[in-house]
Amino acid sequence: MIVVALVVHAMLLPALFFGVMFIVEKSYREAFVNEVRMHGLFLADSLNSTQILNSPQDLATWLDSVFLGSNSVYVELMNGEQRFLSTIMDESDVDKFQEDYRFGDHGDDVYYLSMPLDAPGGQAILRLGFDEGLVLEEIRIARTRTIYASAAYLVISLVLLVLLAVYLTRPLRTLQRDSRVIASGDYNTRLRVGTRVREFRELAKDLNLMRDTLLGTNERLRAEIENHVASERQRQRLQAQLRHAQRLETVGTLAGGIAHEFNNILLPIILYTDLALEDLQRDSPIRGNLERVMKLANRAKKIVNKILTFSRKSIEPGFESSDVVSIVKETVTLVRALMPATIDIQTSFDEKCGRVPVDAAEVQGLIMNLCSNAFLAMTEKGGRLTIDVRVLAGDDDSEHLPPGLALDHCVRISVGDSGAGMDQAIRERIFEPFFTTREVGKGTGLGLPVVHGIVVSHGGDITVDSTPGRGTTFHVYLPHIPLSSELPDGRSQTETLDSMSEKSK
Amino acid sequence: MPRVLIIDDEEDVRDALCEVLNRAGFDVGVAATSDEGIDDLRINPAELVVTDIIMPGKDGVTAIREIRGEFPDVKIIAISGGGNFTPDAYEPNAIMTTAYLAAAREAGADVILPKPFDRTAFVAAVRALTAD
Repeated sequence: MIVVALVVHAMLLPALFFGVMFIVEKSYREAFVNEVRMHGLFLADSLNSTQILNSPQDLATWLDSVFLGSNSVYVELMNGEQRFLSTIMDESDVDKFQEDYRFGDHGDDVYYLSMPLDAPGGQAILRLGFDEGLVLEEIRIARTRTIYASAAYLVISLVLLVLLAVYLTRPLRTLQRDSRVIASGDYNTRLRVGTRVREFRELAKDLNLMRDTLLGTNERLRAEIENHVASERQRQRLQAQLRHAQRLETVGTLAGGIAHEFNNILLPIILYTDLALEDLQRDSPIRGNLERVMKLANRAKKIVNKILTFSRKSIEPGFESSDVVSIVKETVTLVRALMPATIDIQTSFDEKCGRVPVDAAEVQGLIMNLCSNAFLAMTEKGGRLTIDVRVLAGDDDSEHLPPGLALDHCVRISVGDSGAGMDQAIRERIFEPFFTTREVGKGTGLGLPVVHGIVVSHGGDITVDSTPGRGTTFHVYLPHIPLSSELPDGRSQTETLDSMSEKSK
Repeated sequence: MPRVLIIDDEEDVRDALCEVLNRAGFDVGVAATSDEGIDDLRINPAELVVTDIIMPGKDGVTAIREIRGEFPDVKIIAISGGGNFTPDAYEPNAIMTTAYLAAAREAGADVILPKPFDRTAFVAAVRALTAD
């Protein structure tokens, strides 16, 4: 840009100079010529209006006075054939007359002029030559002055240009450099404003604003992308889990179906082998083989049980007649230790619950899960967690129980929170595998379905009561199956079952 | 001789239990379905019914309830092969062995025995329930 300005200046300045000079010269010349002509006219007039022409003496004097009194260097009068010259004129100057009427030409610095006169004897001409020297000198001086002025202007304008260049380009370069730094990834840099020029300050401010906005957008986009990547990963994880769960389900279904068939097949095998052993003589050689068959059949029975356990169906060995209240109390102690002070824990236990056949570990896990859900519903504002265990009497909420569970054989464990509650739509889906109202990454949505599975595998049921804005309570019903019920002859059924498992070892 | 009725859809199970009880000195009747069993009970009164739970048609729990209703003095032993028996994919509501047996108990069964069980235990239970 500076170069352009310089070039323009370089082109304009001479033009300007010559233009100025031209005008100056022209005006000087015109002034000179006008003056000269006027003078000539005046002289001609004075000759015309007097009798000097008639008197050669007077004429000679007049000619001399003209020569002396003005800047004319040549004075000649032609009267017909007679020629009169000023006597003071130099010999070398005689006969130099040229009709040139042009200023500055011919190199002799004289402007010649001839004026016709009214003479008595016919044509008379006054010829004058004026010295151009002074004017030329003045022109020269003017030219010199113009040159000086132009040079000064050039220098000043150069200096100004340089200053302007520095003044303007430095902030521009700074902006440029800073932009490059930002573009190369150093987003913490801001554009510097190293100048007092208002336009640049505004520009820098606007650019910085743009940068901040873009950075903001950048960050948001990046966060979004990270979010997407995370949910994508989560989705894939969940898909893998789902596939795994589905495979388990298939195995479970298969196992369930097979178990039934196998158990129905194993029973006659065991019974017939037993009968055959009874029919055999004490020392029969076949006894050994048959006993082996018996052992194998019992082994098969255990394997079928294991398969069912693996697919998380309930198998009696995991169940023990337990004091539910004490299991829950133990769990609550743990829960109290884990909950923050913002959660107020209230418990109530009916000691008459007695013993219920449960898998103690599963029941503990179930309670922990429900308490954990309750806590998550109350993390923001705290609240109250209530845990209640009681035996149900005959006239309570009968509609919640599944068929087959009569009320006086039921222990109900209730876990309640004072959180946000759930509406009908959520309540209906709460036990659905992978259903969760939490954000991606928090919670797999498998907690309650597992709880549900555990409860059902105990022959029980689970229901949920919830009021949006007030809280939620889960009720777990565990049937009071009296596996240890008395048989009419006084023996307990557990005894017969135990003797069964003894025999099968 | 006390009569025992066996209700089970598996022929081999019926036959095996029949032979076991015959040898133990019981008069035994068999039925392949709940309805057959209840019909038989009306014709041939029995002191004890041994019934499977999972059967096509009417399931054992319903049968137990009906038998209990119609023959309040009859003793009932409920047996079951257990397992998850729904044909569709994993159904969290499916009833498990203990639940089957719990349901049977609530319906009125006196003793519940998961299959496969010992001959000795079975015979002991039958004897105990028909003792009077």
